[in-house]
Amino acid sequence: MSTDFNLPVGPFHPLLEEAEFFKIKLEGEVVADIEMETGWMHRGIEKISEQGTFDQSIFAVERICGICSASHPFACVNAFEDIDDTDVPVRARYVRTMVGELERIHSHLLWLGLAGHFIGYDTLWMWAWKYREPVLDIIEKTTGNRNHYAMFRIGGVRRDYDNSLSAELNEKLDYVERKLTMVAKAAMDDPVLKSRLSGVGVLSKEAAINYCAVGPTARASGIAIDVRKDEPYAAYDLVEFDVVVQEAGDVFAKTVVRILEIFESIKIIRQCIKALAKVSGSILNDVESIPAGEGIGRHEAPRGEVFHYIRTDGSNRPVRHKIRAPSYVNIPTYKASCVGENLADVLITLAAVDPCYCCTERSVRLQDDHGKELTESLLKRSQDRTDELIRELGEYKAWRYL
Amino acid sequence: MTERVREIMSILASESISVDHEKRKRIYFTVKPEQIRSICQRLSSENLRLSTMTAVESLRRFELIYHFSDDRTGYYFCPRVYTGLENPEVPSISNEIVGASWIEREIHDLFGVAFHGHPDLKPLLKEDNENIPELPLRVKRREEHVD
Repeated sequence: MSTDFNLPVGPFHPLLEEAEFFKIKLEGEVVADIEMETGWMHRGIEKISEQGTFDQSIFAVERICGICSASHPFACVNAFEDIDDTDVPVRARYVRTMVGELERIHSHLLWLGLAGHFIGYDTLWMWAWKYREPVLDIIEKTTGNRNHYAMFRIGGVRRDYDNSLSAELNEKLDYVERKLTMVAKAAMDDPVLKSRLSGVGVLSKEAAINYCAVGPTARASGIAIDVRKDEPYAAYDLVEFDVVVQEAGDVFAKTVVRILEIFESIKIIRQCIKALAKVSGSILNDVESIPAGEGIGRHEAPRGEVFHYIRTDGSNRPVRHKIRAPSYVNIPTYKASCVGENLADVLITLAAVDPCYCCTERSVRLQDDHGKELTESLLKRSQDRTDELIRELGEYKAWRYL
Repeated sequence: MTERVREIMSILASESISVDHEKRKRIYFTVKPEQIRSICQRLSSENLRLSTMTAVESLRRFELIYHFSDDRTGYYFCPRVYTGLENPEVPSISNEIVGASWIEREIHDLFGVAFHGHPDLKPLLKEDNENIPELPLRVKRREEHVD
Protein backbone atom coordinates (compact mmCIF):
# COMPACT_ATOMS: atom_id res chain seq x y z
CA MET A 1 0.00 0.00 0.00
CA SER A 2 1.30 3.45 -0.91
CA THR A 3 2.05 5.78 1.97
CA ASP A 4 1.63 8.93 -0.19
CA PHE A 5 -1.19 11.15 0.96
CA ASN A 6 -2.42 14.55 -0.20
CA LEU A 7 -3.80 16.75 2.55
CA PRO A 8 -5.85 19.78 1.52
CA VAL A 9 -5.61 22.70 3.98
CA GLY A 10 -8.03 25.55 3.39
CA PRO A 11 -9.14 27.59 1.49
CA PHE A 12 -10.52 28.72 4.82
CA HIS A 13 -7.35 28.47 6.82
CA PRO A 14 -7.57 26.41 9.96
CA LEU A 15 -5.27 28.85 11.76
CA LEU A 16 -5.72 32.33 10.33
CA GLU A 17 -9.10 33.53 9.14
CA GLU A 18 -7.72 34.13 5.68
CA ALA A 19 -8.36 32.46 2.37
CA GLU A 20 -5.33 30.45 1.25
CA PHE A 21 -5.27 26.93 0.01
CA PHE A 22 -2.38 24.54 0.62
CA LYS A 23 -2.01 21.14 -0.95
CA ILE A 24 0.37 19.21 1.28
CA LYS A 25 1.81 16.01 -0.14
CA LEU A 26 2.80 13.66 2.62
CA GLU A 27 4.99 10.62 2.79
CA GLY A 28 3.89 9.09 6.05
CA GLU A 29 3.96 12.10 8.36
CA VAL A 30 6.72 13.93 6.52
CA VAL A 31 5.94 16.71 4.02
CA ALA A 32 7.18 15.77 0.52
CA ASP A 33 5.85 18.85 -1.27
CA ILE A 34 3.60 21.83 -0.67
CA GLU A 35 1.59 23.74 -3.26
CA MET A 36 -0.19 26.99 -2.63
CA GLU A 37 -3.17 28.58 -4.34
CA THR A 38 -4.22 32.16 -3.76
CA GLY A 39 -6.65 34.61 -5.28
CA TRP A 40 -9.71 34.41 -3.06
CA MET A 41 -9.02 37.87 -1.63
CA HIS A 42 -8.19 39.57 -4.94
CA ARG A 43 -9.99 42.90 -5.10
CA GLY A 44 -8.16 44.58 -7.98
CA ILE A 45 -6.81 47.41 -5.81
CA GLU A 46 -4.19 48.36 -8.43
CA LYS A 47 -6.98 48.91 -10.96
CA ILE A 48 -9.09 50.81 -8.41
CA SER A 49 -6.13 53.07 -7.66
CA GLU A 50 -5.52 53.78 -11.35
CA GLN A 51 -9.14 54.89 -11.75
CA GLY A 52 -9.04 57.40 -8.87
CA THR A 53 -7.19 60.63 -8.17
CA PHE A 54 -3.91 60.65 -6.22
CA ASP A 55 -5.63 61.24 -2.88
CA GLN A 56 -8.09 58.45 -3.65
CA SER A 57 -5.14 56.12 -4.38
CA ILE A 58 -3.86 56.65 -0.85
CA PHE A 59 -7.36 56.00 0.50
CA ALA A 60 -7.64 52.78 -1.53
CA VAL A 61 -4.24 51.35 -0.59
CA GLU A 62 -4.89 52.00 3.10
CA ARG A 63 -7.64 49.40 2.78
CA ILE A 64 -5.42 46.63 1.42
CA CYS A 65 -4.92 45.46 4.98
CA GLY A 66 -6.27 46.34 8.38
CA ILE A 67 -3.06 45.55 10.24
CA CYS A 68 -0.73 47.26 7.75
CA SER A 69 -3.01 50.24 7.33
CA ALA A 70 -0.09 52.68 7.73
CA SER A 71 2.38 50.67 5.64
CA HIS A 72 0.74 50.90 2.23
CA PRO A 73 -0.10 54.62 2.36
CA PHE A 74 3.43 55.21 3.74
CA ALA A 75 5.03 53.52 0.72
CA CYS A 76 2.46 55.10 -1.61
CA VAL A 77 3.23 58.70 -0.54
CA ASN A 78 6.95 57.88 -0.69
CA ALA A 79 6.44 56.85 -4.34
CA PHE A 80 4.49 60.04 -5.19
CA GLU A 81 7.15 62.14 -3.47
CA ASP A 82 9.89 60.25 -5.34
CA ILE A 83 8.44 61.43 -8.69
CA ASP A 84 8.99 65.12 -7.99
CA ASP A 85 11.50 65.00 -5.11
CA THR A 86 8.89 66.58 -2.83
CA ASP A 87 10.23 67.92 0.46
CA VAL A 88 8.41 66.79 3.59
CA PRO A 89 8.53 69.05 6.69
CA VAL A 90 10.63 67.61 9.53
CA ARG A 91 7.69 67.57 11.95
CA ALA A 92 5.63 65.52 9.51
CA ARG A 93 8.57 63.13 9.05
CA TYR A 94 8.64 62.46 12.80
CA VAL A 95 4.86 61.95 12.94
CA ARG A 96 5.07 59.46 10.05
CA THR A 97 7.87 57.56 11.78
CA MET A 98 5.92 57.41 15.01
CA VAL A 99 2.80 56.00 13.32
CA GLY A 100 4.90 53.43 11.42
CA GLU A 101 6.57 52.20 14.61
CA LEU A 102 3.36 52.06 16.66
CA GLU A 103 1.93 49.89 13.93
CA ARG A 104 4.97 47.59 14.07
CA ILE A 105 4.53 47.05 17.82
CA HIS A 106 0.86 46.17 17.64
CA SER A 107 1.36 43.97 14.59
CA HIS A 108 4.23 42.00 16.16
CA LEU A 109 2.22 41.58 19.38
CA LEU A 110 -0.72 40.31 17.38
CA TRP A 111 1.52 37.73 15.73
CA LEU A 112 3.18 36.74 19.00
CA GLY A 113 -0.22 36.12 20.58
CA LEU A 114 -1.41 34.06 17.61
CA ALA A 115 1.82 32.05 17.50
CA GLY A 116 1.41 31.24 21.22
CA HIS A 117 -2.22 30.24 20.61
CA PHE A 118 -1.32 27.96 17.67
CA ILE A 119 1.08 25.91 19.76
CA GLY A 120 -1.23 25.76 22.76
CA TYR A 121 0.48 28.42 24.89
CA ASP A 122 -2.67 30.45 25.48
CA THR A 123 -1.20 32.45 28.36
CA LEU A 124 1.21 34.05 25.91
CA TRP A 125 -1.68 34.77 23.58
CA MET A 126 -3.70 36.52 26.30
CA TRP A 127 -0.71 38.51 27.59
CA ALA A 128 0.41 39.64 24.15
CA TRP A 129 -3.08 40.79 23.19
CA LYS A 130 -3.69 42.36 26.59
CA TYR A 131 -0.62 44.55 26.27
CA ARG A 132 -1.43 45.29 22.64
CA GLU A 133 -4.46 47.25 23.85
CA PRO A 134 -2.51 50.14 25.44
CA VAL A 135 -0.52 50.39 22.18
CA LEU A 136 -3.78 50.70 20.25
CA ASP A 137 -4.89 53.31 22.79
CA ILE A 138 -1.77 55.34 22.02
CA ILE A 139 -2.49 55.02 18.31
CA GLU A 140 -6.10 56.13 18.85
CA LYS A 141 -4.99 59.11 20.93
CA THR A 142 -2.43 60.28 18.38
CA THR A 143 -4.26 59.56 15.12
CA GLY A 144 -7.94 59.33 16.09
CA ASN A 145 -8.35 55.71 14.98
CA ARG A 146 -7.27 52.25 16.05
CA ASN A 147 -6.93 51.14 12.41
CA HIS A 148 -7.03 53.02 9.12
CA TYR A 149 -5.34 56.07 10.58
CA ALA A 150 -5.74 58.25 7.45
CA MET A 151 -2.61 60.18 8.47
CA PHE A 152 -0.71 60.21 5.19
CA ARG A 153 -0.87 62.91 2.54
CA ILE A 154 1.50 63.70 -0.30
CA GLY A 155 3.94 66.22 1.18
CA GLY A 156 3.19 65.60 4.85
CA VAL A 157 0.58 64.30 7.26
CA ARG A 158 -3.10 65.07 7.70
CA ARG A 159 -3.11 65.68 11.47
CA ASP A 160 -0.53 67.16 13.78
CA TYR A 161 0.75 65.43 16.90
CA ASP A 162 -0.59 67.02 20.07
CA ASN A 163 2.46 67.73 22.28
CA SER A 164 0.27 67.84 25.40
CA LEU A 165 -0.18 64.06 25.06
CA SER A 166 3.54 63.37 25.55
CA ALA A 167 3.50 62.84 29.34
CA GLU A 168 0.61 60.38 29.13
CA LEU A 169 2.13 58.58 26.15
CA ASN A 170 5.51 58.24 27.86
CA GLU A 171 3.77 56.80 30.90
CA LYS A 172 1.90 54.28 28.73
CA LEU A 173 5.10 53.37 26.88
CA ASP A 174 6.87 52.75 30.21
CA TYR A 175 4.00 50.48 31.25
CA VAL A 176 4.02 48.61 27.92
CA GLU A 177 7.80 48.19 27.99
CA ARG A 178 7.74 46.88 31.56
CA LYS A 179 5.01 44.37 30.78
CA LEU A 180 6.52 43.31 27.47
CA THR A 181 9.86 42.65 29.14
CA MET A 182 7.98 40.08 31.21
CA VAL A 183 6.22 38.67 28.11
CA ALA A 184 9.53 38.54 26.20
CA LYS A 185 11.10 36.52 29.00
CA ALA A 186 8.06 34.23 29.10
CA ALA A 187 8.56 33.55 25.40
CA MET A 188 12.33 33.59 24.86
CA ASP A 189 13.42 31.89 28.10
CA ASP A 190 10.70 29.26 28.19
CA PRO A 191 12.40 25.86 27.78
CA VAL A 192 9.26 24.19 26.38
CA LEU A 193 8.70 26.92 23.79
CA LYS A 194 12.36 26.86 22.86
CA SER A 195 12.45 23.12 22.31
CA ARG A 196 9.10 23.24 20.43
CA LEU A 197 10.22 25.94 17.98
CA SER A 198 14.00 25.53 17.65
CA GLY A 199 15.06 23.75 14.49
CA VAL A 200 11.48 23.81 13.19
CA GLY A 201 10.69 25.20 9.71
CA VAL A 202 14.25 26.26 8.96
CA LEU A 203 14.64 28.71 6.07
CA SER A 204 18.29 28.71 5.07
CA LYS A 205 20.04 31.95 4.15
CA GLU A 206 20.53 30.73 0.54
CA ALA A 207 16.82 29.86 0.19
CA ALA A 208 15.78 33.22 1.69
CA ILE A 209 17.97 35.02 -0.87
CA ASN A 210 16.71 32.90 -3.76
CA TYR A 211 13.07 33.44 -2.80
CA CYS A 212 13.78 37.21 -2.36
CA ALA A 213 12.35 37.09 1.20
CA VAL A 214 12.05 40.34 3.16
CA GLY A 215 11.45 41.60 6.69
CA PRO A 216 11.69 39.42 9.82
CA THR A 217 11.50 36.30 7.60
CA ALA A 218 14.82 37.32 5.97
CA ARG A 219 16.36 38.81 9.11
CA ALA A 220 15.77 35.57 11.04
CA SER A 221 17.81 33.78 8.35
CA GLY A 222 20.83 36.04 8.79
CA ILE A 223 20.09 38.60 6.06
CA ALA A 224 20.52 42.09 7.50
CA ILE A 225 18.09 44.01 5.29
CA ASP A 226 15.86 46.78 6.57
CA VAL A 227 14.62 49.64 4.37
CA ARG A 228 14.73 51.99 7.36
CA LYS A 229 18.53 51.61 7.45
CA ASP A 230 19.27 50.81 3.80
CA GLU A 231 17.51 53.83 2.34
CA PRO A 232 16.32 56.01 5.24
CA TYR A 233 13.08 57.89 4.64
CA ALA A 234 10.75 59.87 6.96
CA ALA A 235 12.79 60.49 10.15
CA TYR A 236 14.63 57.16 10.24
CA ASP A 237 17.93 58.95 9.56
CA LEU A 238 17.29 61.16 12.60
CA VAL A 239 16.68 58.41 15.17
CA GLU A 240 18.87 55.67 16.55
CA PHE A 241 17.92 52.02 16.42
CA ASP A 242 19.41 48.61 15.68
CA VAL A 243 18.44 46.08 13.03
CA VAL A 244 17.71 42.76 14.76
CA VAL A 245 19.25 39.77 12.97
CA GLN A 246 19.27 36.08 13.92
CA GLU A 247 21.11 33.32 12.10
CA ALA A 248 19.15 30.11 12.78
CA GLY A 249 16.26 30.67 10.29
CA ASP A 250 13.82 28.56 12.35
CA VAL A 251 10.48 29.57 13.87
CA PHE A 252 12.17 30.41 17.19
CA ALA A 253 14.56 32.83 15.43
CA LYS A 254 11.60 34.56 13.75
CA THR A 255 9.93 34.87 17.17
CA VAL A 256 13.06 36.38 18.74
CA VAL A 257 13.48 38.88 15.86
CA ARG A 258 9.92 40.14 16.25
CA ILE A 259 10.12 40.39 20.05
CA LEU A 260 13.39 42.34 19.98
CA GLU A 261 12.07 44.62 17.22
CA ILE A 262 9.24 45.68 19.53
CA PHE A 263 11.77 47.16 21.94
CA GLU A 264 13.62 48.93 19.10
CA SER A 265 10.29 50.44 18.03
CA ILE A 266 9.60 51.69 21.57
CA LYS A 267 13.07 53.28 21.50
CA ILE A 268 12.25 55.05 18.21
CA ILE A 269 8.84 56.30 19.43
CA ARG A 270 10.44 57.78 22.56
CA GLN A 271 12.96 59.65 20.37
CA CYS A 272 10.12 60.92 18.15
CA ILE A 273 8.11 62.22 21.14
CA LYS A 274 11.22 63.99 22.41
CA ALA A 275 11.99 65.52 19.03
CA LEU A 276 8.39 66.60 18.40
CA ALA A 277 8.53 68.69 21.58
CA LYS A 278 11.32 70.74 19.99
CA VAL A 279 10.51 70.68 16.27
CA SER A 280 7.76 73.09 15.36
CA GLY A 281 6.44 74.31 12.04
CA SER A 282 4.23 73.05 9.26
CA ILE A 283 3.14 69.43 8.85
CA LEU A 284 2.33 69.72 5.17
CA ASN A 285 4.07 70.90 2.05
CA ASP A 286 0.94 71.30 -0.05
CA VAL A 287 1.53 69.71 -3.44
CA GLU A 288 -0.73 71.12 -6.14
CA SER A 289 0.19 68.83 -9.01
CA ILE A 290 2.47 65.94 -9.82
CA PRO A 291 4.41 66.05 -13.09
CA ALA A 292 4.75 63.18 -15.54
CA GLY A 293 7.30 60.66 -14.31
CA GLU A 294 7.83 57.46 -12.38
CA GLY A 295 8.57 56.88 -8.74
CA ILE A 296 9.43 54.03 -6.38
CA GLY A 297 8.32 54.22 -2.77
CA ARG A 298 8.93 51.68 -0.07
CA HIS A 299 8.46 51.24 3.63
CA GLU A 300 9.67 48.64 6.11
CA ALA A 301 6.30 47.30 7.20
CA PRO A 302 6.05 44.87 10.17
CA ARG A 303 6.26 41.98 7.68
CA GLY A 304 8.99 43.47 5.47
CA GLU A 305 9.46 45.81 2.54
CA VAL A 306 6.26 47.19 1.00
CA PHE A 307 6.96 48.31 -2.56
CA HIS A 308 4.94 50.79 -4.64
CA TYR A 309 5.75 51.85 -8.20
CA ILE A 310 3.74 54.72 -9.62
CA ARG A 311 3.85 56.19 -13.11
CA THR A 312 2.15 59.50 -13.85
CA ASP A 313 1.47 61.43 -17.06
CA GLY A 314 0.91 64.92 -15.65
CA SER A 315 -2.83 64.34 -15.04
CA ASN A 316 -4.39 63.90 -11.61
CA ARG A 317 -4.36 60.10 -11.55
CA PRO A 318 -1.72 57.38 -11.82
CA VAL A 319 -1.24 55.67 -15.19
CA ARG A 320 0.16 52.59 -13.47
CA HIS A 321 0.28 51.72 -9.79
CA LYS A 322 2.13 48.53 -8.93
CA ILE A 323 1.93 47.26 -5.36
CA ARG A 324 3.96 44.46 -3.81
CA ALA A 325 3.23 43.51 -0.22
CA PRO A 326 5.85 41.62 1.82
CA SER A 327 3.72 38.48 2.25
CA TYR A 328 3.76 38.10 -1.54
CA VAL A 329 7.46 37.21 -1.48
CA ASN A 330 7.48 35.61 1.97
CA ILE A 331 4.67 33.09 1.43
CA PRO A 332 6.48 31.17 -1.38
CA THR A 333 9.32 30.43 1.09
CA TYR A 334 7.01 27.75 2.50
CA LYS A 335 8.29 25.49 -0.24
CA ALA A 336 11.78 25.76 1.26
CA SER A 337 10.85 25.71 4.95
CA CYS A 338 8.09 23.06 5.06
CA VAL A 339 9.41 20.27 2.84
CA GLY A 340 11.01 17.57 5.02
CA GLU A 341 9.18 18.77 8.13
CA ASN A 342 6.80 16.72 10.21
CA LEU A 343 3.11 17.50 9.54
CA ALA A 344 2.64 18.67 13.14
CA ASP A 345 5.25 21.39 12.55
CA VAL A 346 3.81 22.64 9.28
CA LEU A 347 1.07 24.87 10.64
CA ILE A 348 3.31 26.87 12.98
CA THR A 349 5.84 27.14 10.11
CA LEU A 350 3.08 28.52 7.88
CA ALA A 351 2.15 31.02 10.58
CA ALA A 352 5.79 31.98 11.23
CA VAL A 353 6.11 34.30 8.23
CA ASP A 354 3.15 36.23 9.67
CA PRO A 355 0.82 36.09 6.68
CA CYS A 356 -1.38 39.11 6.99
CA TYR A 357 -5.06 39.21 7.98
CA CYS A 358 -7.42 41.96 9.02
CA CYS A 359 -8.13 42.58 12.65
CA THR A 360 -10.44 45.35 13.62
CA GLU A 361 -12.23 43.72 16.50
CA ARG A 362 -12.51 45.99 19.43
CA SER A 363 -12.29 44.65 22.94
CA VAL A 364 -11.51 47.35 25.42
CA ARG A 365 -12.72 48.12 28.94
CA LEU A 366 -14.58 51.39 29.23
CA GLN A 367 -14.38 53.17 32.58
CA ASP A 368 -15.61 56.55 33.70
CA ASP A 369 -13.40 59.06 35.56
CA HIS A 370 -14.01 57.22 38.84
CA GLY A 371 -13.00 53.82 37.48
CA LYS A 372 -16.60 52.56 37.18
CA GLU A 373 -17.20 50.02 34.41
CA LEU A 374 -19.30 51.43 31.59
CA THR A 375 -19.43 48.38 29.35
CA GLU A 376 -22.64 46.99 30.85
CA SER A 377 -24.56 50.19 30.34
CA LEU A 378 -23.11 50.76 26.86
CA LEU A 379 -26.28 49.83 25.00
CA LYS A 380 -28.41 52.02 27.25
CA ARG A 381 -25.98 54.93 26.82
CA SER A 382 -26.17 54.53 23.06
CA GLN A 383 -30.00 54.48 23.13
CA ASP A 384 -30.08 57.53 25.45
CA ARG A 385 -27.78 59.40 23.09
CA THR A 386 -30.02 58.56 20.10
CA ASP A 387 -33.12 59.76 22.01
CA GLU A 388 -31.31 62.95 22.93
CA LEU A 389 -30.40 63.62 19.29
CA ILE A 390 -34.00 63.02 18.18
CA ARG A 391 -35.22 65.51 20.80
CA GLU A 392 -32.61 68.08 19.68
CA LEU A 393 -32.86 67.75 15.91
CA GLY A 394 -36.23 66.14 15.22
CA GLU A 395 -36.53 62.60 13.89
CA TYR A 396 -35.85 63.31 10.18
CA LYS A 397 -32.64 65.29 10.76
CA ALA A 398 -31.45 62.95 13.52
CA TRP A 399 -31.62 59.85 11.32
CA ARG A 400 -29.88 61.69 8.47
CA TYR A 401 -27.19 62.73 10.95
CA LEU A 402 -26.79 59.20 12.26
CA MET B 1 27.65 57.49 -6.07
CA THR B 2 29.46 54.84 -4.06
CA GLU B 3 32.14 52.45 -5.25
CA ARG B 4 29.65 49.58 -5.31
CA VAL B 5 27.15 51.44 -7.47
CA ARG B 6 29.95 52.37 -9.89
CA GLU B 7 30.88 48.67 -9.99
CA ILE B 8 27.34 47.68 -10.99
CA MET B 9 27.22 50.49 -13.54
CA SER B 10 30.44 49.17 -15.09
CA ILE B 11 28.80 45.73 -15.45
CA LEU B 12 25.98 47.39 -17.39
CA ALA B 13 28.48 49.33 -19.50
CA SER B 14 30.33 46.09 -20.32
CA GLU B 15 27.06 44.78 -21.79
CA SER B 16 26.82 48.08 -23.76
CA ILE B 17 23.70 49.18 -21.89
CA SER B 18 23.16 52.90 -21.48
CA VAL B 19 21.13 54.43 -18.68
CA ASP B 20 17.72 55.92 -19.67
CA HIS B 21 17.46 58.13 -16.68
CA GLU B 22 18.89 58.33 -13.21
CA LYS B 23 17.32 60.14 -10.32
CA ARG B 24 18.35 60.08 -6.70
CA LYS B 25 18.82 56.35 -6.06
CA ARG B 26 16.77 55.06 -9.02
CA ILE B 27 18.49 53.90 -12.20
CA TYR B 28 16.35 52.90 -15.18
CA PHE B 29 17.81 51.33 -18.34
CA THR B 30 16.49 49.50 -21.40
CA VAL B 31 17.64 46.03 -22.42
CA LYS B 32 16.68 43.80 -25.33
CA PRO B 33 14.38 40.84 -24.50
CA GLU B 34 17.11 38.35 -25.44
CA GLN B 35 19.49 40.06 -22.96
CA ILE B 36 17.17 40.16 -19.97
CA ARG B 37 17.93 36.70 -18.62
CA SER B 38 21.70 37.25 -18.54
CA ILE B 39 21.36 40.78 -17.12
CA CYS B 40 19.09 39.57 -14.31
CA GLN B 41 21.53 36.77 -13.61
CA ARG B 42 24.43 39.26 -13.42
CA LEU B 43 22.51 41.59 -11.10
CA SER B 44 21.40 38.68 -8.92
CA SER B 45 24.96 37.36 -8.65
CA GLU B 46 25.95 40.83 -7.38
CA ASN B 47 23.54 40.18 -4.46
CA LEU B 48 20.82 42.43 -5.80
CA ARG B 49 17.36 41.39 -4.66
CA LEU B 50 14.49 41.16 -7.14
CA SER B 51 11.80 43.20 -5.45
CA THR B 52 9.11 42.75 -8.07
CA MET B 53 8.27 43.32 -11.73
CA THR B 54 5.84 45.86 -13.18
CA ALA B 55 3.95 45.45 -16.44
CA VAL B 56 2.85 48.66 -18.15
CA GLU B 57 0.72 48.78 -21.27
CA SER B 58 1.13 51.90 -23.36
CA LEU B 59 -0.35 52.88 -26.74
CA ARG B 60 2.17 51.20 -29.03
CA ARG B 61 4.13 48.79 -26.92
CA PHE B 62 4.17 46.67 -23.83
CA GLU B 63 6.73 47.33 -21.14
CA LEU B 64 8.11 45.19 -18.32
CA ILE B 65 10.19 46.75 -15.57
CA TYR B 66 12.31 44.55 -13.28
CA HIS B 67 12.98 46.20 -9.93
CA PHE B 68 16.30 45.10 -8.40
CA SER B 69 17.13 46.46 -4.96
CA ASP B 70 20.70 46.89 -3.79
CA ASP B 71 20.11 46.69 -0.05
CA ARG B 72 23.65 47.77 0.80
CA THR B 73 23.31 51.17 -0.87
CA GLY B 74 19.53 51.65 -1.09
CA TYR B 75 19.73 51.94 -4.90
CA TYR B 76 17.13 50.53 -7.25
CA PHE B 77 18.33 49.18 -10.62
CA CYS B 78 15.45 48.80 -13.02
CA PRO B 79 16.02 47.13 -16.40
CA ARG B 80 13.13 47.57 -18.85
CA VAL B 81 12.11 45.30 -21.67
CA TYR B 82 9.76 46.33 -24.48
CA THR B 83 7.63 43.86 -26.37
CA GLY B 84 4.71 44.02 -28.81
CA LEU B 85 1.13 44.62 -27.71
CA GLU B 86 -0.18 41.58 -29.56
CA ASN B 87 0.97 38.37 -27.88
CA PRO B 88 3.61 39.93 -25.61
CA GLU B 89 6.41 37.51 -24.75
CA VAL B 90 9.72 37.65 -22.88
CA PRO B 91 12.13 35.02 -21.54
CA SER B 92 11.39 33.84 -18.01
CA ILE B 93 13.92 34.41 -15.23
CA SER B 94 12.27 31.98 -12.77
CA ASN B 95 14.89 29.30 -13.28
CA GLU B 96 17.60 31.74 -12.22
CA ILE B 97 15.64 33.53 -9.46
CA VAL B 98 13.01 31.35 -7.78
CA GLY B 99 11.31 34.43 -6.28
CA ALA B 100 10.31 35.58 -9.79
CA SER B 101 8.01 32.60 -10.27
CA TRP B 102 4.90 34.04 -8.59
CA ILE B 103 5.54 37.49 -10.11
CA GLU B 104 5.65 36.06 -13.65
CA ARG B 105 2.60 33.91 -13.02
CA GLU B 106 0.65 36.97 -11.87
CA ILE B 107 1.69 39.10 -14.87
CA HIS B 108 0.75 36.22 -17.17
CA ASP B 109 -2.56 35.99 -15.33
CA LEU B 110 -3.51 39.67 -15.41
CA PHE B 111 -1.79 40.91 -18.60
CA GLY B 112 -1.34 37.76 -20.70
CA VAL B 113 2.44 38.04 -21.06
CA ALA B 114 4.02 34.71 -22.03
CA PHE B 115 7.22 33.97 -20.10
CA HIS B 116 9.24 31.47 -22.09
CA GLY B 117 10.96 28.84 -20.00
CA HIS B 118 8.81 29.29 -16.88
CA PRO B 119 8.54 25.86 -15.22
CA ASP B 120 4.79 26.11 -14.50
CA LEU B 121 3.02 29.21 -15.84
CA LYS B 122 -0.40 28.47 -14.32
CA PRO B 123 -2.71 31.27 -13.12
CA LEU B 124 -1.83 32.72 -9.73
CA LEU B 125 -4.94 34.71 -8.85
CA LYS B 126 -7.52 33.62 -11.37
CA GLU B 127 -7.35 29.85 -11.00
CA ASP B 128 -10.92 28.50 -10.70
CA ASN B 129 -12.24 32.03 -10.31
CA GLU B 130 -14.70 32.80 -13.09
CA ASN B 131 -15.61 36.17 -11.49
CA ILE B 132 -12.35 37.76 -12.66
CA PRO B 133 -12.59 38.82 -16.32
CA GLU B 134 -10.11 37.73 -18.98
CA LEU B 135 -6.81 39.69 -18.72
CA PRO B 136 -8.32 42.23 -16.28
CA LEU B 137 -5.46 44.73 -16.31
CA ARG B 138 -5.16 45.05 -20.09
CA VAL B 139 -6.66 48.14 -21.66
CA LYS B 140 -9.89 47.16 -23.49
CA ARG B 141 -9.35 45.64 -26.90
CA ARG B 142 -8.07 48.19 -29.40
CA GLU B 143 -10.74 47.50 -32.04
CA GLU B 144 -13.39 48.73 -29.62
CA HIS B 145 -11.53 52.03 -29.30
CA VAL B 146 -11.02 52.57 -33.01
CA ASP B 147 -14.66 53.05 -34.00
